[in-house]
Amino acid sequence: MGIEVLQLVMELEAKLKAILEEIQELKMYAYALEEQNEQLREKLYAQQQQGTAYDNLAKLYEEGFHVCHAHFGRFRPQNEDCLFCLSFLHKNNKDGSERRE
Amino acid sequence: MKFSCPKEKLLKAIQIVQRAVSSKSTIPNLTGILLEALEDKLIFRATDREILIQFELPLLSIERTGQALLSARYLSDLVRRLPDTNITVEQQQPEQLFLFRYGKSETQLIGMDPSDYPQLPVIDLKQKIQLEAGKFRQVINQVSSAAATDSLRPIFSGIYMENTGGQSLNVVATDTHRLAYSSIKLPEENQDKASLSLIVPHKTLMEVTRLLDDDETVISIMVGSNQVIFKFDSTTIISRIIEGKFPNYQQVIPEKYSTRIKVHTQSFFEGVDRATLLAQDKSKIASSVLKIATKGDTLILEARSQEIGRAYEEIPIYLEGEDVEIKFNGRYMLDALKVIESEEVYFDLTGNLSPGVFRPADGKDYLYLILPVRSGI
Repeated sequence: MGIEVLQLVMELEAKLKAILEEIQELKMYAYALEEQNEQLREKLYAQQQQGTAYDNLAKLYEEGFHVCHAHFGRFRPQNEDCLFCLSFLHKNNKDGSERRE
Repeated sequence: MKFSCPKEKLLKAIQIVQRAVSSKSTIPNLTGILLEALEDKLIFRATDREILIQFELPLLSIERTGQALLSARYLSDLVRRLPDTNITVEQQQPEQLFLFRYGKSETQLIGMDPSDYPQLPVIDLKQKIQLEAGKFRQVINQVSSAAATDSLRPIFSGIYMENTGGQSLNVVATDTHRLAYSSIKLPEENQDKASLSLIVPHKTLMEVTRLLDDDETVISIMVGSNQVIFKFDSTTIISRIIEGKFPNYQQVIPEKYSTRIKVHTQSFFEGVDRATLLAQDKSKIASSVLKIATKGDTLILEARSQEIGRAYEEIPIYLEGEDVEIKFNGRYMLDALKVIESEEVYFDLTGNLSPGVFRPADGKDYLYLILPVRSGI
């Protein structure tokens, strides 16, 4: 009887050990995922910020203001398009989408 | 000062320099033309401090040297009315009285003190290039219409000239809605010299091209830190350079196209000219807007005005790529087409937002790009 109990306790101990090891592994895995998640969040945030800056410039342009280097912030009379603003917006849009891909 | 000169030569010299006279100046001296009689030539000079024009007239009949500063308006009005004969100009006492004698008649003009007149500026010359006058005039005429006419944007109110160590002089003008580019190959002795990059006021180059009447002559362009000199024949034009950095114009020139229209230049010009006549709008926003569409090998131009009527033009073309439907300012198109000398022209398009590009079908040294109009008919 005493031997059987001892046997059972030893088996239980071995199982617990295995479970603890598995838990340890899972914890490590969770840490790794957490870290990766944090990195991805940071990357996403950076990309969203970039998108916002572009969108703001595009909005400013649509509202009738220059966004090109030469005349930034100046009013565009009669909403006439500007070669340099469009080229700038087009280039940034292209760069942004390339970075996001 | 005393000299004799045929009326025709005197008038020509006055008319050459008169364009630099300031019409609005509050400084009396700047409303005058300076005449300087040297041993063997007469020098005429006028300036509004932005531009200075000097003309040298070789003359053997100079009896006494001296200077005179005379009102440009009265001097030119008087000389224009003089008979076609030899005119004798003589300085009298007191010093600033000048007598114009012709036949048995005479007129006296009261001059101003020439010692207060601006001296020729001393320019620290950095670069010099020489070009054939006819070619230089051609490239300037090809781009000048694209320069901005308002003074709010100084860098765009000028014409950009650059020779970045290469074999050509590139000339560019833009008002940000359109851009014209032309290039001229430099003579071998001018090639591979230090790079040249400057923005010259539009008015200066218009005066230079106006005075370049002999295509065979050679024009020298000498560049200082903030002034530029154009010298040809007996004329010297000195102008300030517009300060500022011209934007990277190459970035706005589309590298490819989705539609290429090849069309007879004159037919296209005439069609656009007629249609633009009808493209009027009270609000001015949609003024001169033409609708352009292709249907295979036909280009359709449409314009309409509520008050005047409508225009519909069909022009045969060679089409490469997709059919298009797009709107452009007809006046800009006319400016581009009227300076293209080749029989046929390419009109390259890439979507409704990218500029349309005119290129002569027989050469690569010129292009004129204009942005489409997003509102309109």
